[in-house]
Amino acid sequence: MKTINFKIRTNRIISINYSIVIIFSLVFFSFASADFTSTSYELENPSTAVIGGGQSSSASFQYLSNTGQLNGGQSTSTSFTQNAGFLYFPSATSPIVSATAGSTQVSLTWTASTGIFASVTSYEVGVSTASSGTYTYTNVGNVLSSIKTGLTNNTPYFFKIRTYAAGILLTESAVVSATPVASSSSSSSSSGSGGSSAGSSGSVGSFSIPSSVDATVNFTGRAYPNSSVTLLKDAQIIATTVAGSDASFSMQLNNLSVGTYVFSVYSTDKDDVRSPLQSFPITVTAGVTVNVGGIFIAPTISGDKSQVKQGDNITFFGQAVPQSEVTIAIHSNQEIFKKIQTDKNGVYLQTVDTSPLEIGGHSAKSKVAFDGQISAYSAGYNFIVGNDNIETDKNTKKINKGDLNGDNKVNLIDFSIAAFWYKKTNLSDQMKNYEKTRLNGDGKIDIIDFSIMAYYWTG
Amino acid sequence: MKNLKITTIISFFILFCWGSFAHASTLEVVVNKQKVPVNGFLTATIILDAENNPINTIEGTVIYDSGYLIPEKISIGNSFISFWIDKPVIKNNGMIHFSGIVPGGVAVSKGEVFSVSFKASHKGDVSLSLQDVNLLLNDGQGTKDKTNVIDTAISIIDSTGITDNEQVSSDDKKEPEDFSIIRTRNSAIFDNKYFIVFSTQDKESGIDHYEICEFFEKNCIVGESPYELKHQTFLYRIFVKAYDAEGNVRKEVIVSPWLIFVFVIFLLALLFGVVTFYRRFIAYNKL
Repeated sequence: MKTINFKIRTNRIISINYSIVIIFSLVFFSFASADFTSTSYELENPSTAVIGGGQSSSASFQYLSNTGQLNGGQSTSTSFTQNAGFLYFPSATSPIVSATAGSTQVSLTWTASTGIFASVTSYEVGVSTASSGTYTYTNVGNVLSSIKTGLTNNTPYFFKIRTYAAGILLTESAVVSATPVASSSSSSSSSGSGGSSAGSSGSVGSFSIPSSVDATVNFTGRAYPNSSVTLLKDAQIIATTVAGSDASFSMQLNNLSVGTYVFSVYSTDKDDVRSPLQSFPITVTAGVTVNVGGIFIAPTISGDKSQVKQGDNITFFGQAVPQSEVTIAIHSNQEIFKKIQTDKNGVYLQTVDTSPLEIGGHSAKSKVAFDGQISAYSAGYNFIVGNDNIETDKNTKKINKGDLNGDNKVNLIDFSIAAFWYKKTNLSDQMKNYEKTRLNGDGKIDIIDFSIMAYYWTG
Repeated sequence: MKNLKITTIISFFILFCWGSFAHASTLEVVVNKQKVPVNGFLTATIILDAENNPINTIEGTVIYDSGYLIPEKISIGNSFISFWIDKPVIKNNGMIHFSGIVPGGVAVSKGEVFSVSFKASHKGDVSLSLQDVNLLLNDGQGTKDKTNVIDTAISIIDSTGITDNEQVSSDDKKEPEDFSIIRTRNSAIFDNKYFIVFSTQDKESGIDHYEICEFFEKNCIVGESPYELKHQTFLYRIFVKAYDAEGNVRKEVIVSPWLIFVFVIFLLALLFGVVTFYRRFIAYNKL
C-alpha cells in the first residue's frame, strides 16, 4: 500500500490509499492531468485516478470525489453523460472538414485533431439529411478521409466528424454539407454550413472572387466578432473578409486549377493581435465544389505586464467567439489552467495570482470551446516573474519573430532575405542582428530559422 | 477486481503510450513498381505521413545508385510544399537534396513531397533511401519531430522479352498560376540595393525555372528570387517569366509609376514641340 497526497489550496490534505498496481501504471506511463478548480479551491496535480468515495468539506469549499471507479471511460444515456476517471479532462482540437460531392457519394477529408492529455486513436463520420437532425456515426479508424457512398443524388447531406481517444469522445467538428449530383455535370453542394450551428445570429462576413470556374472552394468558420479574416493559398494572401457579429465568416474561391493546395486562415482581433495560422491541405478536382467547414480560429492573448513581481497579479486578455469558454494555460513547473467566459464581443479578461509561479520566464496561451468544438491553442504570451512589475509597452512597435524587414508581415520578402543567407557563414552585420533578434539567434541561417518564419507567417 | 486493474492498465497504456508510437512522423520512398527491366522506367515518390503533428519544414536527401538508376525528371507539381529552400534538382551524383516550408504547418496523410522518374540502366538489386531527414514541428521554435524513415528496394531485371515503354509523359498545357512581383530593398541583402521577389506554382508539371527581363523582353536571363536588379533607378520595367516543366510560361510585369509619368511628360513635351514648330512654320510661311 502506498499513500498519495492531494494538496488543496485551502491547505487541506487528503490522504488516499490505493493499490500499488495503479501507482505503477501511473508512474510508468507518466501522464498528467488538469487541476480541479472552483471559485474557492484548487486541487493541484491530481495525478492519480483513484479517489475513494465520499466527500470533504470546510467552511469555504466542498469536494465531492467519485466512487472509486478505476476504469476511465464514458457512459451515456438519453439523459446524462458520465466521464469517469481523469479521462474527463482529455480534449482535442476540432477537425476542419472538407466535403466534395460526387455522384451518389461524398468524399470527406479532415484535419487531424490534436489531442490534449490524450492521443487521438480514431474518428467517426456522422451523416444526416438534416443539419440539426440525428446523425448516424460510423467508426472509420485513425484516418483523415472517408467516402460516403450509396447517397441519393440531389439530396443535401450533412456531416460531422467526431474524435476519440481509446473510445472516449474528445471533440467533434462543425457541420459541413454536400449534395451529390449525377456525374455528367459539375458536382455541387450547398454553401458550407460548417460553423453555422445553433446560436448564430449575427451577419456573416463574406467574400467572393468572380469566376470563370475550374473548381470552387467554400470556406466557413468562426473567428472573432467583426474581425478581419485572411485566407492564404499556398502561403500567399488570396482573400480577406470581415467576420460577422457572431464571429462566423465565409469565403468562396472560384477558378481554381485542379491540384492540391494548402490553404491557411488567420484573424486579427480588435487590438490588431493576430491569431496563429490554421493550415489545411485541400485537393480539388475539375468542376467540383468543395465545402470546407469548421474552421475555428484560436483566440488571441495578450497581457498587461511583460514582467510581474512574484505574488502580484497579471492580467491576460484577448478575443474569441462570443459567449464561449476560454481556457488559459500558464506554463510553469506545474501548468496552471484558468477558465473564463467571453462577453458578447468575444472579449475575455482573466487576472491570475503569480504566487505559485516560480521566478523566471513563463508563457500563457489560450483555447476556446464553443458548441462542442474546441480550437487549437493561441500563440504564447511570454512574461517574466521577477522582483518588479513592468507594464507592457503598448506604444512601442513590436517586431514579430520572422519579420526580418520589419514591415509587420512575415512573407515572401522575409523568406527571400533568409534564403539568400541560407547556409552562408559570413552573415552581414545587419543579417546577424536580424538572426539574433528575429530568428533563433544561433548565428547562422538554417532550416530552424525557416521553421520559425513558417510559424509566424502572415503572407 | 483483478480484471478491473488489468483493464485500467491497458486503458492507460493505449491512451498515453499509443501516442509515443503513433506520434512519430514518417517520410517514405514509394515506388510504382518493385521490378523494372533494363531501360525501363520507374517513379519514386517521397511521401510524408504526419497525421498527428503539423510539420512546417522538411529536409532530406534521396540516395540512389547512379550506376543503376538515371534520374530523368523531377516533378514538384503535386507537392504540398509552398516554398522550396533547396529545390530538388537532378545532379547525377547519386543524391537529390531537398528542403522546403509549409507556412502554418500541415498534418498530412500520404502527402507528396515530390517524385523522381528514373531510367534503369543495369541489371541488379538497388535501394532507394532517405538520409539526413529533418521534419520540424510548427511550434515557433523549429523543434525536430520524431521521425521514421522508410526506404525501398527494387530489382532491375533482364529486359529480354519485356517491353516497358512507360515513359514519363505529361499533357500539361496550362501555364503556371499568376503571381506578383515585389520590388524592395533591405540593408541585410545586396548592399541595400533594390531586388525583386516572386514565387508561383504549377499544379501539374511544377515550376522549372524563371527568367527575369529588365525594360525589354529580349534582355532576359535565368534567375531566381531574390534577384538583384541591374537598374537601380526609380524608372523600371521588369518582366518575370515562370516556366513549368513542360515549357508553358506565365509572364508578369511591374512598371514604375514614374516611368509612366515620364512617358506622359515626354509625349506632352513632344506634342508641345510639334505644335510650336508647326505654328512657327505657319508663321514663317505667312511672312
